[in-house]
Formats: sequence, structure tokens, C-alpha cells
Amino acid sequence: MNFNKHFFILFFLVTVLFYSCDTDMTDNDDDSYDRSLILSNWSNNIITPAYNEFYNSLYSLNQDVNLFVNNPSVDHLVNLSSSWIYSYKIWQHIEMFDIGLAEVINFKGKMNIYPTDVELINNNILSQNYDLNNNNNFDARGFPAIDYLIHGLAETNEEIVQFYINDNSYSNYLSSVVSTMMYNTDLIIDDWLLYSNDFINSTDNTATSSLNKMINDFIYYFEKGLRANKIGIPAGIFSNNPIPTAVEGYYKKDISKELALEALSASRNFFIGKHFTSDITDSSLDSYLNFLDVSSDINLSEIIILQFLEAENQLNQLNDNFVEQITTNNMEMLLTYDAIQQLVVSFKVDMLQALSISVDYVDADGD
Amino acid sequence: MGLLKKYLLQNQLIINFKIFFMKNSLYLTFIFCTSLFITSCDKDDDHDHDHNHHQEVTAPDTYSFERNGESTVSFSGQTCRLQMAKDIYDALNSPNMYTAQQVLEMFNDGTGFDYSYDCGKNVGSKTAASSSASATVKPLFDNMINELFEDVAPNWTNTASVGMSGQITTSTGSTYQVNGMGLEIDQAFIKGLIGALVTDQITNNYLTASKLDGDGTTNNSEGLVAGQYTDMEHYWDEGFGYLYGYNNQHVGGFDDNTTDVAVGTGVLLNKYLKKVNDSNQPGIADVIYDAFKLGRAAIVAGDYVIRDAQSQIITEHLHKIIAYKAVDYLIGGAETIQSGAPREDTFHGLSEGYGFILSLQFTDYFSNSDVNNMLSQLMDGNGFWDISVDELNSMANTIANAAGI
Repeated sequence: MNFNKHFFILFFLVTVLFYSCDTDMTDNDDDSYDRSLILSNWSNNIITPAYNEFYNSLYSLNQDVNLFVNNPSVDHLVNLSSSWIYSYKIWQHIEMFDIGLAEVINFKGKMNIYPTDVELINNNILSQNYDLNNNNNFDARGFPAIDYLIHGLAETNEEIVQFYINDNSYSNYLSSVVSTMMYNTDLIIDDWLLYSNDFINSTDNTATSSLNKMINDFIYYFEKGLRANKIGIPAGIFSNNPIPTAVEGYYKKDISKELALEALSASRNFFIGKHFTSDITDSSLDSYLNFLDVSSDINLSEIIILQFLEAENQLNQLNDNFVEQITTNNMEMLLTYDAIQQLVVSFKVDMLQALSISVDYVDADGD
Repeated sequence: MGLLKKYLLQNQLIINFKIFFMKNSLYLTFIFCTSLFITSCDKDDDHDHDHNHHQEVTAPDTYSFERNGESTVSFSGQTCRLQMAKDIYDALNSPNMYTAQQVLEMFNDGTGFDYSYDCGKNVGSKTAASSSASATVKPLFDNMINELFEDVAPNWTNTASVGMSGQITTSTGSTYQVNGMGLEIDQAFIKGLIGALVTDQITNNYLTASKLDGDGTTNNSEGLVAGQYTDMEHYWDEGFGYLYGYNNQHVGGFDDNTTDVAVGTGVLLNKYLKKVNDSNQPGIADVIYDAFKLGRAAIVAGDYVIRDAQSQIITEHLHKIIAYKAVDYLIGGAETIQSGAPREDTFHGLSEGYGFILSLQFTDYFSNSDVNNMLSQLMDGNGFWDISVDELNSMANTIANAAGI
């Protein structure tokens, strides 16, 4: 038996086999990207400054609530309304960070569940007995509850002000809603400051690593919080008929588009790693995808950025007031949904595949 | 499979190679190495499935799979939806017996049928429901139901004319009801569902890697007892069910599309699978059925490379069926007009073509806006009353070229 000859044949075969094997696995082999760059950019330049600005905005909102309840007037109400809008817009940059304590206490569930339950709010006001941190009140608190309390009690500002002049329990409820929001935001920020170091240092690719969790949270937010809640549900995608009462900012009426645009741009900023306080961009998902160079002829990052642009253009076509848009021409809402849905597919299928990250949630929509 | 694990396997291979080398058992080594190679080369990079099963995947003779002696194949939900679709189609042809509200209820809620289904399913929520489908499509189906009852039903037995809905009679004596454009709505509706329900659910949902893989734990068969299936097995079966799941045994009939590769009963894709298999492309039914069997066997074996290859074969061929029929109906219409026969002779076929074109947006060939453009071209001006031979032929060409048929 010619030993060497056999050895060479085997060696050759195995080499060929491995060679052919490796071409299938380039995604994994080339992945030496320093994930901590992304994590520290997210933490230092996006999450932390956004949390800070959000806290400041709530602080101002609270001041304006105090001003209003101590001296209810149309001027104070209008003033309060604009700080509500500002804070609500900053919130659009926060909601996706369902990490750390925010996930544990369901922060987003304490801040932005809509449509709000008007009957429950009115019962609470009447009974003057409520714990807004209790999840029984999940849809009677946060931004949507304030929306009802400052825009929805009556048709005109004058009439709304009368509620607060006539009955102290409205003021108490409004103050409670805002102070509960501040209390929870305080908790989240304190926790984040402690947790952010661990967040940056968790650079593995496992289900519990920071990047994997944050990307999953981001996609989940984009799919549910943005696509479904802001557009899909009110446009009737998940029901037999449109549900205009389910728009975000229903009582303010002309704010739904502004909030959706803000959320879309927050998502884009996160994807490209744009600092919260400036136009500087650092490492993020787009640079990671570019590094992996997913496929020679298609650049996924570029596709996603174009899809963001298309979604923004489509969204811009809509009426500021989504209720009017839905009742006059719901087709435009559906087209907006389509444009946003393309991003969902790019994120959930193409991007996750390129990054070799598993999705950590599945839709239960089988038969 | 994770990066680390892959390298460990390679290292282990080298170590083992050395040991066996010393023992002079070269051929054994080769077999061992090769089996390791197959394991490490599995495309299933992301998942930790049981890798002991890797052997050649063999499909059974028929689509039957068991765990510990009991069948794991289940697609009753699909059977139910396909039966409901048939009932809705029948209701659209008997508008004197129903109202739009009743048919919308059947479509969207899955209730209000003569037969009382207890599956808890409906057709509407799975119409243009995949992640790649346009949200603008589902309302078209609701609108078709409304239009049929509001616009066509009142003129059901009046003679239709340009811009006026009613009944047409062909030169061979067949009668159909059309809208003012000459479009027979029940045909557009049911042929549209071939794409929006059946093809979309099979090829853009159940047979996609992202659906089948889910969170990476969908094919975990640990702890399953006789007759229980993994999620991945079930998703594949549900895809299978949309093509072959129709029967009418719930109302005492004998139709059953599972008994052969192309039985052709019912009103949806299986019917045209048979037609295309009988004429345009003999053998296509075997190709599709074999791919369904092999893909399902591959799932049981944990071989996702083979699974995804079968998914691709199925997708490619199902999409082709839709293209064949769209082209056939367009060309058929053009030929009839050219022969000098009355316009009305083309309406039934062109309406079917309209539905198949609507379906084309669920194939890999055309987007939602491509399809909308084609449909508006068909309905332009007076619709089928003044569509030209050239327009029909040119559209047929576009489709045939895109589909490579």
C-alpha cells in the first residue's frame, strides 16, 4: 500500500471540501468587526444624550403642568400643549430602547399606550383613587392620557380650561400622570448610567449579548411601535376596517404625522449611528453591514437608506391629521405602510442574516 | 453554527486526522473527515439542531411523514380556508341569495356560510398577508365584493353594454355578468386569490427560510411524542396544504386534491396546476410534488440546504403556473378579437386573465406597481370593450419574457 499517495489524495480531497465549504460561510469568517465601537456610539452618543434630553423635556412639561393647574387659563394650556408636543417628539427617540430596566418595568407600556381609555381615565378622576404605576392603568397614563386631558375633554380650549377651574380632581390626575412619567424616567436613567458599561462591553454574538438584544429591540420597535401602531392599526391592516381612533395623538389631531416622521428619523439615526445632539455619525448598523460587504453587487446599507428615504417621502404625502387621511383616502396610509414594511423585511430578513443574528421574537400567526 | 464551533470542528478534525493517521486507518479517516465536513458545511449556521442525522435525504413515495408511527402532517386550517374560498366564489355567483355584508362576513370573519365551519379561520386575513405583499391589495378584494353586489347584481339579467354592467351572452350561448368595463368580478376575485392567498402564503410566507427558521428553535424535536410535529415541519405542511389541501368531503363530496400530484378540483391554484401540467408544461406537477416531499424529508433530517433548494423549485414552478395562465388568457382574448368574433366572447377569459395578472405581483416577476399598471391598462378607456389586440399581445409578451416561458 502506497501510504503517501493515499495521504495526498485524502489531503487534497479534504482541502477541496473545506475550500468549497468556506465560500458558503464568508459572512461568518470575515466578521472581525469591533462591535464595541457600535455599542459605545449607541450608548454615549445616542442613548444617554437622548435620555437626558427626554428628562429635561419632561421636567419642562411638569413645570408647565404646575403652571396650568395652579392657574388654569387658555394661555397656560397652549403653553402646556407645546411642551407636551416637544416631549412626545423626544420620546420617539427613546421608545426603541427596550433594554435594561426599561424592559423589566415595561417602560414603553407606562409611557405610550394608545388609544387611551377615556372611560377608565374618567372613572379614575371621579374616584380619585388610582395607582398609575399599576398595570391596570396601562391605557390611562403616559402621553396619550395627557393628550386626552389637555386636548380631548371638550371642543374648545376655553371649555377644557373650565374642567380644571371647576374640579380639582382633573388637575390632580394630570399632575399624577406627569409625575409618574418623571418617576419612571428617573429610574430608567439611573439604571442606564449603571448598566451602560456592561452594555458596551458585551460584544459577543449570543442571544443575550448587547448588540443582539439591541438590534432585536430596534427591529421589534420598528415593526410594532412604528409600523403597526402608528400606521398599520389605524389604517385597518389588522382588522376588517380602519380604526381612525387608534392614531397616535388622536386628541391633538394634527400631530400624528409629525410624531411618525420623528420616529422614522430616530430609527434612521440609530441605523446610521448619528449622534443625538449633532450631525456627526459613528459606527452603527450601516457601517457594520458595509464592513461585511454582504454581497458584491448589492449594498444592503444603501438599500436601507434609500428605503428610509422612500418611507419618509411617502409619509410626507399624508395629511398632518391621520384621522382625516384615513377617512378621506386610506389608500395613501396603506402605501405608507408598504414603504415602511419594506424596511421591516430588510431589517428582519436581510440584515439579521448578514449579521448572523437570530430574531428573538416570532409572530404567532400560524394556523 | 457559530464561528467558534466551526473552528473547533476544524481543529478537532485535524487532531483526529493525526490520530487515525498514526493508526494507519486512512480510509476510515476519510469517511470520518467527510462526515465532519458535511456537518460543518451545513448551511444552517445559526442553529444548533441535532447534527447526528446527516445522511442522504430520501423522500417517501407520497407526502406522508410520521413520528413514532403516527402521522405528523396536518393542514386542516388550509383545507378550511380553501373550502371557504370556494363557497365565497359560489356566493359571488348567486348574488340574489346573499348581500355584500354577508359575503364580506364570510371573507373576513369566516362566518355566515351555509355550512357551519368550526375551524375558526377566514380567507381575508390571509389575503395578501405575507411580509412582502402590498397592504393595498386586500381592500381590492373587499371592494370587488361590494362592487359585485352594488353595481352588477342590480343588472344581473339586463344586457350589458359599454359603461353599463349586466349580462353578456357569447356566440356559443354562454352567459356571464360583467361590470361596465366588461370585467367579470367573480373571476377577477377568485383568480386573484390564486396569487394573493395561495401563492403568497406558500412562496412568500411558509416556504421562506425566515418563516421556517423563526427564532432558530422551530425544528427542535426534543420531547415530541408520536404524531407531534415541529413548528418547521408544520409550516412546510401548511404550505403544502395551500396547494393540495382542498376537498369537499365536509359537504359529502368526493373531491380531494391530496390523492394525486395534480387532481385539479376546487377553484384555486391546484386547478391550474392540473391544466398547466396537461398542456403548457407536462411534468411540472411531479416536479412540484417531489420538491414538497423532499423538502419535508430534509426538514426531518435537519438538512436546510436541501430544504431551501426544494423551496426554490416549488416557488419557481408555482410562479410559472400563474404566468402561463395570464399569458394564455391574454393571447386567447387577442386571438378572439382578431377572428372577428363579438367582443363579448373575450370577456370571460380576459376576466380570468385579469385575476391572474393581479396574482402576478405575488410572484418574483412583477411588483405591486407593475401589476397596477397592467391592470389600469386593461381597464383604461372602456376596459375590455375597447382593449386592442396589440395591447393584449404586448402585455402577454412582457409577462412571458419576465417568466422565461
